[in-house]
Amino acid sequence: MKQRYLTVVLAATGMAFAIATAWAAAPDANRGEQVFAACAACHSLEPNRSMTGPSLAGVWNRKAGSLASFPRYSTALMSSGIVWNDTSLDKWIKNPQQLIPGNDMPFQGIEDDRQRADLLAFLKQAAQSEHPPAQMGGMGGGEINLKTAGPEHLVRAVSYCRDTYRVTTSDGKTRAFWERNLRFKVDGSNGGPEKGVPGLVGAGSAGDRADVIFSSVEEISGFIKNDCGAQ
Amino acid sequence: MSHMSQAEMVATALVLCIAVSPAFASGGDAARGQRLFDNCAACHSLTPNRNMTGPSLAELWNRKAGGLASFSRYSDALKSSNIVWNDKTLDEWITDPQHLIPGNDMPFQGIKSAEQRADLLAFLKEATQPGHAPSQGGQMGGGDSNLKDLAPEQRVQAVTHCGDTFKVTTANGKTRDFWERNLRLKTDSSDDGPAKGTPALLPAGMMGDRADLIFAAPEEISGFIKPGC
Repeated sequence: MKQRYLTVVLAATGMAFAIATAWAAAPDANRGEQVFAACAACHSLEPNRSMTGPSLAGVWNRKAGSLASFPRYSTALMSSGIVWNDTSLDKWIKNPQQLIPGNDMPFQGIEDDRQRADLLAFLKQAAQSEHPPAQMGGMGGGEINLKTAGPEHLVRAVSYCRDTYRVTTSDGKTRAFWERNLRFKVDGSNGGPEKGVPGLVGAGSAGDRADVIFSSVEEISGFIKNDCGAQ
Repeated sequence: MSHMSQAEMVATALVLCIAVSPAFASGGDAARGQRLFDNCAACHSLTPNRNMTGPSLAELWNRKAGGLASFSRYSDALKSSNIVWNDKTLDEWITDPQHLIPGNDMPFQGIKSAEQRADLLAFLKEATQPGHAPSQGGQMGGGDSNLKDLAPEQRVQAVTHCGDTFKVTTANGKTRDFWERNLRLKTDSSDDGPAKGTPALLPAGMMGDRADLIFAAPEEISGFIKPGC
């Protein structure tokens, strides 16, 4: 009797352990979403919203290097002949340079099988969804919609004298920047600024650096006035 | 005392030495101060009139606050403070800049440790004397190299803009694609800036997918970059 009891207990324990192991091994999309934070700096999940890398919306069964709206694929990726699916994506995020040598994605890969499984579980869901999860802004910007931004972001004038830019915004404030700390950029996307109203966005380092974002390249030189009068 | 072992006496002597050493340090150790200055060097040069985010600190002692003629970005607060920089005012300044001159623009919290301030000022007082500026490591804002003397991979020959992509061709014959938001157009009109008509491409972190494109003047930018796919 005692021996049989022990057997039952051992068997039950073994089963519980097996179930726990299987649970832990099952891909978890929630954990995968956390892993995706590292990808989100360069990849959006919104259709055709490409940043440093292409949008990942609809990536399953897409041919590598074939999203028509993304113009920056490497030749290596475009000529790889790979179609993205569970197997090829797992190999890709394990070691991109091994799967497609010479591609441009600056990512080392994820060694951990479980992290890859989690990430792919999340991606497969999110990439097929009509309503991708809201993403924190990619690091390249896009956090602020410059068409609807507040007056402190709307640039009325930029003057330039020696090594200093003075940027006047719609809230009436004028700020001085060392020229090497002010970055002129262009954003022609829907989130970009209106024509003729560049956006001023802070760029870290205690507020002494900033981006002035124009709607097109042609605007830049004409908008900035050489003027030492105010200084 | 008679209860003390030899080991205890040695330990006591060591403690005494350590207790005395801060008193020595109040004179300030310039070598330690130079390492602290690394934090300042991101914004302040020691070369005369080489201004970056903040003014050059060359010949700072006995200068009126906000009084360096070649620096054009002083706050009103600093200019109207009527402070003259000396041992005492500089110590108060780096203890808590916003306390000494409320509303000034220097984004620096201050240094609480009196010993660290003494070290920093010992270094600065020496290094800001005419002709004493040590060679400085690269500053964060750039300017660490002369952009008139560019390697082929930095010397930009052509830039086109198509859709959301800049294509930058350099003198080594390579053309690189950048997402438009990853390319920062800048100017550098200083002696270290690029030659007119020859902008410089400098990598800007993030694994090489971002870069600075630095022109000699803002009027060059729109003309240099050609629309075209």
